[in-house]
Amino acid sequence: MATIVTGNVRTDQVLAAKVPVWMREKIALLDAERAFFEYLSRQFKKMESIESMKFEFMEMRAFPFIVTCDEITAAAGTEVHVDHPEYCHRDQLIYNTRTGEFYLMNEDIGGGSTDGTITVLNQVAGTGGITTATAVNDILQILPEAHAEGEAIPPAFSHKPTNLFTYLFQHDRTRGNTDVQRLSREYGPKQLLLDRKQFWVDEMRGLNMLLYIGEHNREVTSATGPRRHSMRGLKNWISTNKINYGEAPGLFTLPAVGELMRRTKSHSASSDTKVGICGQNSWTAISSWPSSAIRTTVGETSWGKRLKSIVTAYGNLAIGYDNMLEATYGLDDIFVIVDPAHVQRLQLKGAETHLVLNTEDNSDIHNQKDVITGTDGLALGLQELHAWGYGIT
Amino acid sequence: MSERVTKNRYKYFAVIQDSSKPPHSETVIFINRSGRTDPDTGFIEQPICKGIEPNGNGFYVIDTAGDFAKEKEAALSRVVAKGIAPVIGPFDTIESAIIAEREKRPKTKDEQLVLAKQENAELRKKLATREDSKRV
Repeated sequence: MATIVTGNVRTDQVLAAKVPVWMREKIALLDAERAFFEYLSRQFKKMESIESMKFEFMEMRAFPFIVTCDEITAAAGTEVHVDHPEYCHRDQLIYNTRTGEFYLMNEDIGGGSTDGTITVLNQVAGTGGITTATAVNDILQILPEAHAEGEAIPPAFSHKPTNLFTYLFQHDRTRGNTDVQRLSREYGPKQLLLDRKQFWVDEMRGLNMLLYIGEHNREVTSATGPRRHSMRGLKNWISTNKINYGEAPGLFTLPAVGELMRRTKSHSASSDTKVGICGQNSWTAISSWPSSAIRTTVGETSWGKRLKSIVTAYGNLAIGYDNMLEATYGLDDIFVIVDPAHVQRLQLKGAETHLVLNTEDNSDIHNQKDVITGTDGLALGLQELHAWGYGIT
Repeated sequence: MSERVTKNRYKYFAVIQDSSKPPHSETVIFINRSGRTDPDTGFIEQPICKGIEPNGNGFYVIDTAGDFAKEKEAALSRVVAKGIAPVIGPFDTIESAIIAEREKRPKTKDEQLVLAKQENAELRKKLATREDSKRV
């Protein structure tokens, strides 16, 4: 039976199935790039391909130059309480930076006579104890041996390099569709292509986060079970220069950045220019620094400044903002300084992170699967040259 | 140089050691002040940002007769109150800090072995007593 339309036909009266949807061809992608540090860390140095899931390396540090007093030693005492007595050796000059007094080491190795102390002489008198009482937190410099005429050479001492390691981790992600889905007509770019792009972006985004916060681990489910590795990120690598800004009120100022920079620049292996990766709070704070210094007129149509480099008393810092370090993701309080010469991305040779298309069984002609698979790791050399600041508000 | 040594001069915050993790040597910022001109005196105060870090034995030590003692204690107390970082305190003496740290920290395998041996020895002693009493 025919459906009758009376009068002029309006659009709402046309058979619905007859009207095509006018769909824009382009599909907007909200997050097509979300891997700031994943990309940046590959620019510092070429990825290193290794042939084991465990990467080991060695580092040599200077022999310690200081010890710190951890208890008071009264005037005239000869046993000075310090945190690492074993750093001090016979006849070395020990300088108390607070009192300005020199002591002379009077035992072959500190801690030899009494645990937790160094046995010293009054260096000026050549006998007796120290003149001024020490205080807790006094820093004592360990200076060269003062040799007595004709005396035998002092006993030898040295220290070993540090052996460090990290694991690479293997990560897979699968995407699938049916042949019917692939062959069906769609508006805009095929969903298959969109999925392939987006799942790569999503995987890189996850990897980017692990480069910051990953904690390395080799899980063994049983004595004969398979191993599952996870990778180590900046937060886990950095131990010396980890600074908590969250316990003292105040803005993230140039001296606050300087406090981080100072620490990373105090070794000769440091690069001249460091790279600072800002979270939301530090980026906002840094961006506001020049505002008070900008003079403007009514004719200006834009105001403000986006900094790319900060010049501190301790060196230059190239800065950038990773939008994954924002409040939405719970990491807005982070500010990281890395030394670009000592950041090394790792991968297992032959298992580089890549996309494998159409991995399905040949007999399974109706299904299509793509897999992202690969291995990744991060070796952070000389962790003293990097810094992890957090708690920035 | 005159010494201001008093009985309770120092306050100690201990880092709970865990040999399975990287050493916790976190610097805690205790003062972070922007530069300003003091409204009363007109003196210019430089911006300042300073932190306190643990010594080689894993103790944050505050000299209560030193500069910024209150700020240091307040900042470290906040760290303790949050309960995330492995820091405990404050303690008035190093001894109490060491004892508290020893109690809290995860035991190493060697320590676990020593404890297990001690427990074993005590149980054997008890068992021996019981057997003796049975014989009687």
